[in-house]
Amino acid sequence: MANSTQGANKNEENKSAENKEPSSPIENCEEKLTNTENKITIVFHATGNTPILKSRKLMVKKERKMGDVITFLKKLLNLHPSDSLFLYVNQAFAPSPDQTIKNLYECYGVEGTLPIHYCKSQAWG
Amino acid sequence: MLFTYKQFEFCLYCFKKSSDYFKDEWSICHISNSSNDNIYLKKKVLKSYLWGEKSLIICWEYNIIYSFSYSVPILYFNACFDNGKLLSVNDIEILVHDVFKQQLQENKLGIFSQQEHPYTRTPFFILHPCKTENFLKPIVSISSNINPLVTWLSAIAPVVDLNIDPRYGTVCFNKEKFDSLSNNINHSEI
Repeated sequence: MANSTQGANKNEENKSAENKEPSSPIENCEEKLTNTENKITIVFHATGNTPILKSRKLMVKKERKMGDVITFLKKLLNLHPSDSLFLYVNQAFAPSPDQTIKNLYECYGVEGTLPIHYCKSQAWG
Repeated sequence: MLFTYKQFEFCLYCFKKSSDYFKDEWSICHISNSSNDNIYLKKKVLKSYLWGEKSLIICWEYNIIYSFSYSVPILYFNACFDNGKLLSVNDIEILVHDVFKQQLQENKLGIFSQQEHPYTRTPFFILHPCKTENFLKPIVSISSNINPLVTWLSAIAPVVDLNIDPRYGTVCFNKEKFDSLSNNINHSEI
């Protein structure tokens, strides 16, 4: 049901990147800077009865979506894909799974990190 | 009890203010029975989806109504095609966000089902409210600055393809006023 025109646009962008001339050393430095700037540190906080992670910090690319983080965290916590896991920013707002980490950081980022609370409780029933 | 009706009403009006600010098109509906006045939130959204080669227009309607049985808000929702025909359970399951699809596969009857709308008496789907209180308690107890209605709605919205502007979570909320409404007693009657 996803919009299939997005896939077509991405292919065009890749083609134009291949046609660029080789970059100068200055451009290489700038590229390296943007690579580190390209990632956000997420700090996870457990709430309720949810298990606490051994490593609470995670570097995530800005373009990644919340849905990817949810899936990844479920694996880290050894949860089944069908288990409930809810993630919150600002302690109590659950962002849409399609929201990018970049947008969330701009709204909710604190000192270079994005704090996220997670909770395992079942929501339905 | 997590939500008294007065607390729900307070959250509703705060939510409506944010909605107007973000141009989110939620509206408040008033219902007057012989015994009392109730309010609920309503929103209609037109969305287009790609189904193979065809483009489908679907009209979603979302109602947020207070349940006196469960003392929590319930999300009533419906979706219909552009010819007015309502979507079935199977059709709606296809529109649920991927993040929840697996849960839906394993718990088909436990997530949403059809009921009569308490005020319009037409068939609507609802998201089951039994666990809402348990689900909200740990979050609401640690947070002192967000509208609990926003917390609840933002968490369940992806199940019904409802977009909640991320800025809703940045709006300050008067928790003291909310807590003061936890008593169901009408003080003017004392």
